[in-house]
Amino acid sequence: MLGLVVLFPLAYSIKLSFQSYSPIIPNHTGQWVGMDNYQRILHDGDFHHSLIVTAIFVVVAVSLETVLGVVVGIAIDRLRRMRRFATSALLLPMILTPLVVGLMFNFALNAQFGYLTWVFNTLHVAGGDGVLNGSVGALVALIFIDVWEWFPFVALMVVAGLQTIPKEPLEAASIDGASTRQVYWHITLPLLRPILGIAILFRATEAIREFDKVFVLTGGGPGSATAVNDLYQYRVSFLNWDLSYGAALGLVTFAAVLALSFLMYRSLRRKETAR
Amino acid sequence: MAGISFRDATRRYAGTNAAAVSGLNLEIHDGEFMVLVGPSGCGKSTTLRMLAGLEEVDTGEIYIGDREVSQLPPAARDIAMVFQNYALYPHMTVGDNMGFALRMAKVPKSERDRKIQEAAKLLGLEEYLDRKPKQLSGGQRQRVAMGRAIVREPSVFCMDEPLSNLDAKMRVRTRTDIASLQRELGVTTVYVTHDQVEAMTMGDRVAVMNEGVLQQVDTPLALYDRPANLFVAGFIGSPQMNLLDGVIDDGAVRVGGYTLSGTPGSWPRNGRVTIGVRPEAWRIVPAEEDGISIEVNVVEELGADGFAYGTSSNEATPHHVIVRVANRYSVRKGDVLRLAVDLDKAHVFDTETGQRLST
Repeated sequence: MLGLVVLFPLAYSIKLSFQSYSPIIPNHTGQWVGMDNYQRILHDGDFHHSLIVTAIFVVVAVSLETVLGVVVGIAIDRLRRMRRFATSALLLPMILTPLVVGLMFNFALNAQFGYLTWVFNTLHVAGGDGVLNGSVGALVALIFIDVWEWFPFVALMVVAGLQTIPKEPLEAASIDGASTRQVYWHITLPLLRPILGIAILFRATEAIREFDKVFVLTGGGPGSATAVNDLYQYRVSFLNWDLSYGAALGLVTFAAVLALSFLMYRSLRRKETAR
Repeated sequence: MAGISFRDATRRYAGTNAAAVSGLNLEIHDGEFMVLVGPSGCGKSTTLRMLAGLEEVDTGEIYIGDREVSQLPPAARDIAMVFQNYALYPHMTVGDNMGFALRMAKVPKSERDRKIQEAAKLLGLEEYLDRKPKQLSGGQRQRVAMGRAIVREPSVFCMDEPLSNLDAKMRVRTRTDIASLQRELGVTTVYVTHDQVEAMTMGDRVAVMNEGVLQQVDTPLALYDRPANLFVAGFIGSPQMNLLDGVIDDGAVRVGGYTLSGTPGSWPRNGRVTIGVRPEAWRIVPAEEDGISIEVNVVEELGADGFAYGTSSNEATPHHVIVRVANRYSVRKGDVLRLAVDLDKAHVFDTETGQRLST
């Protein structure tokens, strides 16, 4: 079963990536072309552009999610009442399917009748023709939506992490003369680092593979301003039907994500054992 | 340096009837080593945490020196605390742990380092300054916790069962280390423990607590020699004091058919009382003399001396009696011993109120 659903497609893409195959492009009938597809990646400006877009998206979104998640998580932890309510409310954006999230914001940001567009216009931020139609605005909107959707995940990890932190070092620090803020900064946050690291790892690997929201909201546009890596691959494979090149792109991305998450995981482990 | 004064200090947890600490009045002198002792739940830790500012004072006041501190945050009280599980900062090195309070107080780095070095030298931690707490043994962590308290040069040390996570041998050694360190530094210290041996050996004075109420404060020997009530009598001393049912009858004190030897005193009243006899206060007498007979069940040999545990045949004390036996092998299981006690070595308590009646 595993072989059928994992190994076969993987092996097939590897084979495909050394061929030249497309169902619609003439003369691409599956000839062996060796490393041609991979060489093409090196000179593919659109691909490089998609990497930059992805990098901006991942770094900015995940950073904001982390900061916001930590702040909100700590705030919830300090609540004396309504804590369960706040925690459940946090879950809401996360349990919506990404597609629904995309559609929700598609309405909200619609240039003609979106209520967020109306808010922006009233406040005179962003141009009059809809946030999603500006190249910067579209990327900002995507990042904003990703943060809205996923900072609760980090916040929940923080709430859970705070429960596991022993109380005594925090008390010791307050006796040692640290203010509440200093206790959080010097003691709580460092103790939360392992769990935060895992949260960031999760979010980063997810954000690198972002597709749904971009597909629904901007389709990668305007132009290719929001064409993140996955969307670019989609364009190559299923708009241009250049399946072989698409397979090569997919494999390179796969290898890169694997290496990246492995590096992050290892640096996390190293900090752990150094204690 | 400063003395400490609890004035009617009370702590009540929400949703409970009894106060965790109720109306505590306690004066601790400047430089004194005060031990708070009692069974778990007696309020000793709560008392310490109230002093440290980790627990609110619901009514009453606490003074450190002449400063009323009960509404101040922990940071403003100029105290240092050693926790039961040390509460070291796991992500910092030993040196950073010890220097944290100084860093918070914005002490310049050079002076900080000098003080850390000094404390490390005092505690034998010099070679561990760059290690993380996880890489240290229990005893070393305990010393780091001490070091963290020492570098601050606070006016009060608070110690919450700092030895209970150590093994027995380490505990005895650290016990004397802490006591002599405290004497050397002369810092007023409040030390919480449930172990009456720790209390007796370390404290200048000992405060015995039970169910949130202070029972007695005195020097260790005075507590041992003149326990103020039945609780203190039973709590201080190991093995425990024998507590026997007795009566006062025209000035004489009797346990069953046995009348304690000595001149009859003047007692506030006749009637039922509880007689306390320390294991070493018994005299083993020939069988024909007046006394209480016990049949020995167990003999605990400790080397220098031993304790015999027996069952009394006296109808008034159908329970266990413990007696110290000085000579090796002089007593065996199954022996019948005749025990007598002088009135001036026995403690007489009111059975109803638990208060001490003998002078």
